[in-house]
Amino acid sequence: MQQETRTLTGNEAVALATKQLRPHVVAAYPITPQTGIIETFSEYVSNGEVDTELVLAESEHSAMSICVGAAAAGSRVATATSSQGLALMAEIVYIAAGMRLPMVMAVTNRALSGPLNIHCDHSDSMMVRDSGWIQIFCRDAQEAYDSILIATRLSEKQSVRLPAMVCYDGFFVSHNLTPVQILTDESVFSFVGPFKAGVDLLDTLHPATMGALALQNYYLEFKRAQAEAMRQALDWAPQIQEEFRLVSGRSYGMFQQYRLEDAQLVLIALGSVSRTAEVVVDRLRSAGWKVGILAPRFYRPFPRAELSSALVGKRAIAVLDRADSCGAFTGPLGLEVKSALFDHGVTVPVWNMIYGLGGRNITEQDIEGIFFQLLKIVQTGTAPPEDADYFGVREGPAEAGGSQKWVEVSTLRN
Amino acid sequence: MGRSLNLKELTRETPPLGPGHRLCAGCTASAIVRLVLMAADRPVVVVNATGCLEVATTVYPYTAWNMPWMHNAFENAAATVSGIEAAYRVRMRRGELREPLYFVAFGGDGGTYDIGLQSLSGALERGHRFVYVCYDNEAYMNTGIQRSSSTPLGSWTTTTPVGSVTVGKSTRRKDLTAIISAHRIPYVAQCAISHHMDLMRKARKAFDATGPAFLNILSPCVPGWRIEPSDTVRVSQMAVDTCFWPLFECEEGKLRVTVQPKEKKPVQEYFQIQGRYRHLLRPEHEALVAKMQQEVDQDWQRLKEGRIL
Amino acid sequence: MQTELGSGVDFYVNKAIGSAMESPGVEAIGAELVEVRWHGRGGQGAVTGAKILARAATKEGLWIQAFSEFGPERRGAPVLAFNRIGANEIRTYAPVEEPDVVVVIDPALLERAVLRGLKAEGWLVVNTPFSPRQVARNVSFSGTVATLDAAAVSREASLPPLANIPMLGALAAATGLIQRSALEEAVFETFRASLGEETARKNVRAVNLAWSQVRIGHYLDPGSTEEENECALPSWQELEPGGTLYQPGSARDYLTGMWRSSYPLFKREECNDCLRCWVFCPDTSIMTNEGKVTGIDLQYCKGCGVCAAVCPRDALKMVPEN
Repeated sequence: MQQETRTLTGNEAVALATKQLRPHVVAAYPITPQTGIIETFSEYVSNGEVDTELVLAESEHSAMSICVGAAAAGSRVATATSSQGLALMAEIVYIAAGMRLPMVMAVTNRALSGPLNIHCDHSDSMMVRDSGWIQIFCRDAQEAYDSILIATRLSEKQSVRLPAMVCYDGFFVSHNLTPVQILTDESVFSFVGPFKAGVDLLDTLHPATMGALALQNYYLEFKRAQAEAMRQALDWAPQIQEEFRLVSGRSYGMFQQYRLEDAQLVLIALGSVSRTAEVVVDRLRSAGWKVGILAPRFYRPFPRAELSSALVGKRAIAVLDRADSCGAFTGPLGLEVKSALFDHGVTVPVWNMIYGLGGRNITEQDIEGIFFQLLKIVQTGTAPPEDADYFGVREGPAEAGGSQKWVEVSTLRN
Repeated sequence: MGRSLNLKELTRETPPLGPGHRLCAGCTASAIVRLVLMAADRPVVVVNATGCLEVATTVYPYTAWNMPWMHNAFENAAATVSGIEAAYRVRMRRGELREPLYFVAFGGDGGTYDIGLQSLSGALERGHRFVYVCYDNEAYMNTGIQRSSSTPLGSWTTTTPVGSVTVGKSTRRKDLTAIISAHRIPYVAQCAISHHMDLMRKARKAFDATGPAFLNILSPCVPGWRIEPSDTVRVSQMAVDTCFWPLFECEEGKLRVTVQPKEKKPVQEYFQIQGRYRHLLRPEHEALVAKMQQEVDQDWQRLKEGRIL
Repeated sequence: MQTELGSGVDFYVNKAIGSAMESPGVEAIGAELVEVRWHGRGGQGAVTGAKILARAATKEGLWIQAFSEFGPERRGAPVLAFNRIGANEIRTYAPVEEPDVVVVIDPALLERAVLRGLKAEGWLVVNTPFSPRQVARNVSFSGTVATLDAAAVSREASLPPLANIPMLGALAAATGLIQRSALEEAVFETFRASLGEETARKNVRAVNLAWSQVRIGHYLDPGSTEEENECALPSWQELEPGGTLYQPGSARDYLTGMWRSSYPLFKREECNDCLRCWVFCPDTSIMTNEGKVTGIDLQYCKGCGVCAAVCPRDALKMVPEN
C-alpha cells in the first residue's frame, strides 16, 4: 500500500484524483469555490501530465452538454461545478442520468442565489437530488479524493451506468489545506480500471441512435429501469468500497459513523460539520454522555434500511440540514431520515434543524448545545417540534412577528 | 479528392436519413439533411437539436437515421458535438480509434438563432472541427409556428398575428450568418434547398474546412409558411430570385456571392406565394413592403461588394 | 337522415334517433357520459371538430371536454381528438380508452384499428361514399354504423374539401347527441370569428346537408369478432439502458404511405433521369436503379407532390387516391 502524504486543499485533492483517472475529456466552467479544481487540472494538461481533452466551455450548461456528448462518444468524462453552475446545468444533469452515461462531477457545495452568496451550503446538490445521479457527500479532503475514485468505479459499473456527484463543502473543505494520503497512479488505475464504454457513438459499424423521443408507451419503462440502476448502485457500493479499502486501507460505508453503536443521542449531518461534531462527541463521551454521529455518505442512493437499523433503540436524534426544502417545513435530509424511520417502524424523536445556510458558521459549542437539547427531549419526554428549527437565526421579538423559539440553544451551553 | 457529387452515383448509396420519418408531407428538412450528408466523404456522426427534424425522425423504438446520431437537448447541439469531437480527438490520439470522421450538428432557427446561440458561439470560438447546419424555417415550427429571431419583418406567426393593432412581426430578423462570420471561422455559407448543387458544393467545402464551418439553409415549411406541400422548392427558388435569401459563402474571410439571379425579382413575388405574407399585399402595407424591398436591395448591394455587414 | 334496411343482418333504428329531434343531449343515447374519439389526419380539422362539438354541447348546458393527442407527427399524420360529454361535471382527466362513438373523418384511415376499445353498443361514424353495411363488413364491426359522403356535402355547400364539419353534422344527427340548432350556432360562431360570415353560413349549410344525408345501419354479425392482434411492448427489463437504438433506419417499419390522399403517377417514357424528384423527395420514395428512376415507393410516399412540381418534363403527375 504505497501512499504518499501531501498537503492539499479539497479542490487540489479532487483535481489530482481526476488526473489519476486519466479521463478522456474534462469540460468545465469556472465558478467560486470550484475554480481551484479546474485551475489545477489546467496546469496538469498544460504541463503534459495528462493527455485529457480539457474543454473550457462558455457556460456550465455547455460544460455538462459537452460531458454528455463525450460520454456518449465512448469516453471517461469528469467535470466540476458549484451552486449557480449546477443550477444552470440542471436540465442536462437529468439528461446525463436518463441517457445512462457514466461520469463523475465534483460539486463544491455553495448556496444558491438569491440573495447572491458564495459560501457553503448544500442547496445546490439538493436541487438535483432527484435527477438520477449518485450523490456522495464528503466530510473532508481525504474523502473527496477517495470518493472521486470510488464514484468513478461505481458510475462505470455496467449494471449501474449512472453519473455520480462527489459533493464537499465549499471553502470549509475546498479551500482548506490538510494532509491527504495519495495513492500511486498505478494503484488508482488498477482500482478504477480502463474505461469500458457502455455505448459508443463513434462506432460507425454499429451506428447508434441516442436520445430518441420516448412517449407515453416507453418513457415509464426507462424511468423504472433507471430506478433499478440506483438500486444496483446501492448493492454494489459496499463491494467497491471494500475493494478500495484493500487498495488504500481506508474504509467507507454507505454512511460514516462515529461512536454510534452504543450512543443514545445521535446527530445526523452531511459534510464537514460531522467532523466538527466528532470533537464534541469525544468531549461529551469523556463526561459520560452516550452520544454519537451518523454522517450519510451516500445521499443517492439513500441507505434507508441500513440507516434505520443503525438507529434502532436510540433515544433522540438531531438531523442537521444545510439546505431547506421550502414548504416541507423539514430539510431534505430530515425528510429522508424521518421517512426511512417511519417505513422501518423505528420510533425515535427526531429534531430537524436547518443550519449554516450561506456559510453561516456552526461551532463546537453550538453542536454541544444541540446534544444538550437532545438530552432535554429524553429527560422531559417532550416531543421535538414537527417543523424544522432555523438554527442560529436572529429572531425578532414576538411583537415584531418573531416566533417563540422552541429552543434557545445558547442558553443551554452553560 | 473525395467522392463525387454526381447524383447518379449517389443514388446507389444508402440514404443518410431513410424513410418512415414523420415530418410533414413536403417538408424540406429531410432533403436538406440528405444533401448535406451525402457531400461527406467520410463517415459522419450527427447531433440534432430538439426540433421537428429530431422528434419526427426518432420516435422510439424507431430511427430513420442510418448513421450515428444523437440528440441531447434544444439549446446545446453545438456543445454536444464539441464533446463528441473532443472525445474523438483524444481517442484518436490514444490509438483507440483509427477511422477519420466528420461531425455535423443540425438545429432549426429556434435552436440556432435563439436558445442555442451561446452554445454555438462557444463551440465556434473553441475551434472544434465540425459543421453546424441551421435548417432555417424562420419560426418555431415544432411548437406550432411561433416567432423566432429569424422570423422576417411583417411575417405572420401564431405569436405575431395579423391583428387590428399589430401586423405580423414588427422587427427585422437577426443576421445570424453575419454573426457567425464574425467568429472568423474558416467557412460560412448561406444555402437554399432549391439550389441543391450549390448546397452540396458548400457542404463539401464545410466538411473540408480546417475548423468549424457553418451553413445556414433556408428550409420552407408547409404549415408555417402557409404554402402547399408541393410548392416548397418553388418558394425557395423565389427567395433566391428576389434576393430575399441571397446565396453566398465566406471562405477564410473572403465573401463571394455564389448564385446571381438572372433577373432580380421584386419581393412582392415572394410574398404573394406564401400565406404568411398575404396581408402585406393589401394597399395599406405598401410602405412596409417598400421598406423591406429597400432592405433587401441594400443587403444585396453590400454582398455584391464583398461585405457581409 | 336515411336508415338502411339490412338483409341477412339484424337491423333496428336506434330509439335515440327517433327522439333526437325533440330530446337532445346525453340522455338521448341513454348514458351519463358519452365519450367520442375522432380519427383524422393533421390538417383535416379533427381537433376543430371536437372543439365545435364541445361548444355546441355547452350551449345545451352539458359538461364537456375536448382534447387531442399530441405526438411527434406532423401535418398529414393520423391524429386523434376526443370529447367527453355529460350531464354533470366530468372529473376524468385521462385518455378515452373505450369510446361510445368513433368518428373517422378520413376514409383512408378506416381499418379495424379504429375500432380499438369501441363499445359493442357504440357508434361508428365514417366519412365514406359507401353504405353502412359495406363499412360494417369492411372492418368486421357489429354495432351501429353511420356513413356520410363528406366530400359530396362540401361540394354542395361550396366549401373546400374539409370533412370535419360535415362529419360533425353526421355525428350529431346519427347519435342525437346534440340538437341541430345548437350545433349550427356553434359552427356559425366559430367560423364567423375566424373566416367571416359568408364562410360561416356555408358551414352551417354543410351541417344541414349532412343531417339529411347521413345513412345509418345496425349490424349484428357474430362471425366478426376477430382477436385483437396487438404486439406486446417490451418490459422495462428488456430495454437498452438510456434508450439507445441499434437498428439504423428502423423507421422503415413505420409506413407513412397512409398519410397520402394523392399519389405521383410515374411515366417512365417521359423521364430524362435528371433526378430532381429524387433530390427533393422528403421521404426517399423515388426508387432508382443505376441512377435511373424506376418508380415510386408508395409505402412511404406521403403524396406531397414535390416530385411532380420539380419534374422538368411530364414524367410525374399527381392523381387522387382511389
